[in-house]
Amino acid sequence: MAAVTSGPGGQGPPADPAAGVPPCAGAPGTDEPGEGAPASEGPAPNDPAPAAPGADGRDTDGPASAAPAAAVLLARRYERFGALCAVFVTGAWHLGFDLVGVITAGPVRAGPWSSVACWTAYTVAAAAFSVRLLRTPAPAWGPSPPRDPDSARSAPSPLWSRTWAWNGAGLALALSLTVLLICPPGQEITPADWGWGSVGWLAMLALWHRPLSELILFVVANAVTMLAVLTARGTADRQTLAAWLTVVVSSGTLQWGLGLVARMLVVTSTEVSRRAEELSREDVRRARERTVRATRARLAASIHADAHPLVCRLAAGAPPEDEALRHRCAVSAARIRRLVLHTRGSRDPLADELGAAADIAASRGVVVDLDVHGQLPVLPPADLQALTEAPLRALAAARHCARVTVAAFDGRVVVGVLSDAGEIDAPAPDPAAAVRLDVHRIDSGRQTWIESSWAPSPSP
Amino acid sequence: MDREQLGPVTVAVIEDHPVAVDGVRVWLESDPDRRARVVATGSAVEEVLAGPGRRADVLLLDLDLHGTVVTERIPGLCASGRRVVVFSALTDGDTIRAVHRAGAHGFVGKHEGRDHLVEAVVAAGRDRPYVTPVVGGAIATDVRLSPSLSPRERTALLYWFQSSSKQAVAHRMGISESAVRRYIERARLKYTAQGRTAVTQFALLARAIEDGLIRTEDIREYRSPS
Repeated sequence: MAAVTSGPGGQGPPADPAAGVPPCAGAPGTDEPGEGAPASEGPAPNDPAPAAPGADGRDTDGPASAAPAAAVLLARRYERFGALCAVFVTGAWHLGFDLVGVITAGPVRAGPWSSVACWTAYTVAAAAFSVRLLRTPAPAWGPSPPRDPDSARSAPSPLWSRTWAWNGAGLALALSLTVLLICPPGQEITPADWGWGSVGWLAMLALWHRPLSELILFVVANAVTMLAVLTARGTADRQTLAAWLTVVVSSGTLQWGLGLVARMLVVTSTEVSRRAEELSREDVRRARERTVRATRARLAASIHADAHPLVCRLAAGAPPEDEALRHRCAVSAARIRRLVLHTRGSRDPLADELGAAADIAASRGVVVDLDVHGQLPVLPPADLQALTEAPLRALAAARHCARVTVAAFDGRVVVGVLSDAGEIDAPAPDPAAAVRLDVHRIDSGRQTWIESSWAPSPSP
Repeated sequence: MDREQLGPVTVAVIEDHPVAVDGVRVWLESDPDRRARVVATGSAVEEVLAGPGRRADVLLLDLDLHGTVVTERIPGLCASGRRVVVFSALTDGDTIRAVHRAGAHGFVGKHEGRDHLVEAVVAAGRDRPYVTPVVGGAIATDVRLSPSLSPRERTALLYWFQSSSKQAVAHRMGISESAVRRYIERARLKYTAQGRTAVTQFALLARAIEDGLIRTEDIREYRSPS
């Protein structure tokens, strides 16, 4: 890049102890127009600047505004565990109880293969419902479902609509009635009528993400249907009714009970996870506050130890034109500004990290000016590290002065460091970290201007 | 008549720290062209306006006077036709925006140094916009202004905020310094139009039209939504 000479009031110690800290680069530009630099080494005048922020500004929330991901993850795992349990129990019941009933049952009214056909139909329906349950995006459970970062997950499959769920439950009820009707009278409450106690599991799979009341309604409807058939056939004697009641209570309770437990697991785990996250955030907030307080105390002690003797020396008549004294005043003034920044509530990890690096540089006698503007988003740790890597190296390499700026806008963050550091061995950021780095040498190579910028990754 | 031919800009300093008052006086006197001079000083607004300060071209106001932030005094001062330049250690975006909304001509951070102070005072006295780097940062990151700023204007502001050198910005953008100044001043005018329609801001816009920064038909574009 072509040489850029500093403007008035540029490098070196401040012109006056009361002046505060001079910028590392020049001050206001001259008012004479037409003194532009040769454009050969920069972008064409009409081209957008390389890092022109705002040109395509994206309005994306930072990661901080994302849903409590841990709560989503935990709820999803419990939900899947419940679904696997439901599929397993349905399969085990169908193979261990229904199949035995089909095999051991005597002749049926509608022919020898009718019960086998019903069993097969049940198997196909159960398999389809299981695939839907385990493979398709479903609505979330929970008292106040957290926003799911997975966009596919947050858009439930149409297969989970009420129509599909009720159609599945209707199919289960039809199977129950079919198996019941092909049983000869008197064999209703025997293994030959395997369907009516078993279809509740099928309905449970169909109504998995529907309100629990719908499953209970199904169990009741199935039981009432059975009772109606028994009454119609005139086989509803005391023994049969007792057996009917036993099956209704045992199988029905198991079916809606499993549905209830699965829901409670998800609800409770989500709530617990949310509370845990809240507590964790509170811990982080307290830890950060402790760090901020410690930093303020350290800065205040440093200022007291540094500025007080300086003021005393000036009051005692020390010559203000003394270059060393002026430099110390400038360093002290920069420290006081950072203390003001801390006191005014800067608790952002990025500002804190840069502030800490500025303090270290100041301890070497470097005059560091730090300005932060805009609402800083909370960056993912990897992105934060990538964003600050080069600026921190530039600060570490600064010899006399450095100007550090942070600007946040349109969801983006731009960190600029202008310092009198020499060559900086700044590693190229990982493209996956959404960080861009521009390094420019100006002022005949006497100053290095680093711009490290971060933009949130576009949503997939 | 061009104000630049009328002599130095007269400045009244309202500041409660004598060392800062002396510093400002020294800084203004150190300008090679002597474009501004202090005619009155005081630690309270009333004190300054009671004397020769009431006729000063520019009031240089410290925001924090005796522990009280006096932003609410700015609208009254501006409404009476005075040009107010705020000189403060409170340089966060909210403060700068509040000062701007109150109608102040300019804002200079106390850490920004002599040259910015002199330029800001002289610019205010001549009804020209002047943007210090810290104000550039505040404008560039103002979400309300985002739709109005062109990419080049925002880039110029951001580079100005980062480097404090229009020459460095010009090199980086591959344009002339006058073009950089133009981008920054246009952004400042848009910023002005978002604030209160104070008397002094009409003067600022009028001067911008004279200078060709904007055209009269552009005024509709800059009208404040408030």
